[in-house]
This record gives sequence, structure tokens and C-alpha cells, in this order.
Amino acid sequence: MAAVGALVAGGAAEASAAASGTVKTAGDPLNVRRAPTASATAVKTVANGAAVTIDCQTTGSSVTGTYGTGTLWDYVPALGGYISDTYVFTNSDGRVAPDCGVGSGSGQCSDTCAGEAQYRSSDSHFLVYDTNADGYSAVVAYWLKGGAGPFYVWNSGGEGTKADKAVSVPHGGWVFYKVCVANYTTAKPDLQSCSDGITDFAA
Amino acid sequence: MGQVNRRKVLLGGLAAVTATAASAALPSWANARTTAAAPAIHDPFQLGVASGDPLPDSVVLWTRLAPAPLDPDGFGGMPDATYAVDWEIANDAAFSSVVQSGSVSAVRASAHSVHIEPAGLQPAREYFYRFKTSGYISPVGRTRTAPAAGAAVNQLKYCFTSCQHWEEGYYHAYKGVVADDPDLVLFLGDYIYEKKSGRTAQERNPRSLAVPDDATTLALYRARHGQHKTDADLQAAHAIAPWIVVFDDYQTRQRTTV
Repeated sequence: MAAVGALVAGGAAEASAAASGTVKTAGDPLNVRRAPTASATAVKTVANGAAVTIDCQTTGSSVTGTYGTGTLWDYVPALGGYISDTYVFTNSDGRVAPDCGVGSGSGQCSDTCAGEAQYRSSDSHFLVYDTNADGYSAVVAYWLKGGAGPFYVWNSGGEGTKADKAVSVPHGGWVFYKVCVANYTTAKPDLQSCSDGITDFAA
Repeated sequence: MGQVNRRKVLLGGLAAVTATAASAALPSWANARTTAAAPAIHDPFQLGVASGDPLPDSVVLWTRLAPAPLDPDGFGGMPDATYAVDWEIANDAAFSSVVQSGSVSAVRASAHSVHIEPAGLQPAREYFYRFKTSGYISPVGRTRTAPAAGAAVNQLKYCFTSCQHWEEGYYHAYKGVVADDPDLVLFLGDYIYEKKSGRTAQERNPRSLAVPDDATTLALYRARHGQHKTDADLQAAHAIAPWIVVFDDYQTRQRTTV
């Protein structure tokens, strides 16, 4: 009897390779945005000189900052959003952290950020924001393991409102989602202005 | 140009468009990165396992590492690094009697797809196989080699399937395939469709393509193929028996006229 159970699981190490950086502006505080684009809502600010822990990086809108012009954005879970990498000293113009979608949370915007959403991986909630009085609802469409989806999380509350909904994703499981706007319906909606979509993981 | 290898062409059907599956066929630079720097990943076996094109002494084994299988860039959430993937073939589903094993590199150039062609298997035999990488073990697949040439065969039980548009029907028929316990599954094409359904919403099922753009690039084909492979019933049907697959017109751009 050869090699009994030779493929032994070595204990699944989950992705985490956070990097550190330092915010560097001309002196003003730096906006922290809900999604990696300058059009997204600023959820708070972070002071010049602050140390930040960057969980992941992704491309977004182009920004000109202290370190030149670039499209790289840093996701800082402790701040609840994204900051432009052009204002962060990381000792590198390139990537210092993994692509976003590593399971520490994420955010996206519909085309013009009339709809914004975040996935909170710590307890698997979608937070869906309507930021524009355009007559449309903001909606997240999401897909799950096994071939299921899309499911929807609607915010039909109008401009300036937030919807918060728990979604069932098993520990370590993936969820792929897009942020769109649409006319609310209980049937299959006609999604518009969707983001490209990102995969995140439940903690 | 070398001789066209029929098995590799058919394999292209099985793996659809996840590029040339055999890492041995890749240029040397594709393997240049070492696995030492490969970042940790989430469970990459989200697309199941598959086997196909059985011969009396071999059968193709397949999987693809894709922890985030719907990502529009087609890379399935895999970092840009090479991952060592171990494989085993056994006589039993518990892998207490392993008959062959090995290790291959899964590389980004082939979207971390894995293609194994074992040699020296026994004809008309049932085997079980699985893969392992980064601390994760794949689901177990069952396959079967072809009878020896000229051997008397009392029975060949096969299922036939085709034309599985993601948006136009659920794949529950594969539950029947699994229940029928076939020796072989024949797939006659249109494993994926290059475009979304043209039917009205009322005629479609509630499933939609995650990346609905017409498939015009390798990345879009990989994302499309990956989404199909997330279906639990389809995965089960691949894990129960080897498949022999061919292309049909919708798998290529705009109903190619042949």
C-alpha cells in the first residue's frame, strides 16, 4: 500500500500581505473615499503624516498627488475606504500590496458613483448608498459559489440614503459583486452603469 | 508548425479556452517565476475537477486554480506567480491505494489551468484523482480508462449533452447524468456561448452572466468559461466520468460559418 493519504492539507493560509505607508500631502488632510475613484463619496479624512496599513491596491481614477500622477488606490480597512496612492509614501511607485479582493472588504461605484456600495467582509454585509437624485435606485448584484446569482441588494430610499443587508456567505467563501443603478423591481432588473465587479471573501 | 495533436484539440474543448493547457508546451519564460514567492491564496478549487479523452492507458486530468472565478480579467483571482500543484491517482476514493502521483507548475500564462496526461494506467479501469496546492485539496474525481483495443465490451453506458446556455436553463439535468452513473459523457458543443441570451426576460432563468460582454478576448473567454464551471451540478457531472467534447459554433465568435 503506497503513499496513504499523501495529499495532506497543510492548513489553509488565507491571503494577507498588508503593507504600510505614510500619508504625505502639502499639509491638508487627505480624503478617504468609499470606492477607488475621486468621484466617490469622501467618508472621512486622514491627516498628513499618518501611518496607514494598506491591505490591498487597485486601479481607479487618475489622481495627481505628492508623488506624481497615477491610477493606483490603496484600501485601508482601518479608515473604511480608499486613498490615492499618489499621496502615500510606500517606498515604491508600483504595487506593495495584493490586488483588492483579498477578503478584507472592498468598495465599488457605479459609472458616475450615483450608486456606491461596500462589502464588509467581517460580518458579510453589503452597504448600498444612493448618492444622486437621478430617479434610479442603487443596487448591488452579486453571485455566489455553486453557480448561483445574481442576487440583489436594493437601496430605493433615494439620494443620501444607505441600505445595510446581511448576505449569507460561508466563512472564507467568495462573493462577486457589481454596483449598478436600476429601476426597482421584484423581477429581474435592467441594470445600468454597472461597475466592473470585484470578488471579495467573507471572513 | 508541428503536427496537430487531436487529443490536444479535443482537450481545448474540455478546458474550453483556458489557453494551451499543457504547461510543458509553454515557452521557458512562462515558468521562470519560482513558487517560493507565490502569495497565499484562498481555496483555489472553485471550478471542480474534470477528466476526458480516455485511452486504454491514460486519461486527461484537469483542474484550474481560481479562487475568484468570476473576475473579469480572466485570472480567477490568482496572483501573478507560479504555483506547484500535486496530483494523485488512486484505485479507491479514499486514496488508500495510490497508483501514480506527481507535481506540476500552474502558471499565469495558462490562467493556472492544470493538465495531466498520466501513462501506464490499466485499460477499462476505474480510477480516482485529486489535486493539492497551497494547503488546499480539490474535490475527488472519478474517471475510467478506455478498454484495450479489440477487447470484448459487454456494455458501454454513456450520457450525451450539449448546448448549455447559462442564461437559458438551469443545469439540473446533470443531476440525472450523475444518477445514471455513466462510463463516459459525450458533449457535442456549445459548452459556452460567446454572447448573452437574446431571449426576453420572461423566457430566461434568473441566472445571468457576471461578465455579459460578448467574448472577444482571451480574458473574457476565461471569465465566461469560469462562470460555467462554478455550477455545482456541472462540476458533479465532470467528477463522475471522463468526457469527450467537441466545439460547436457558438463557442467561437459570432456563430462562425464553417
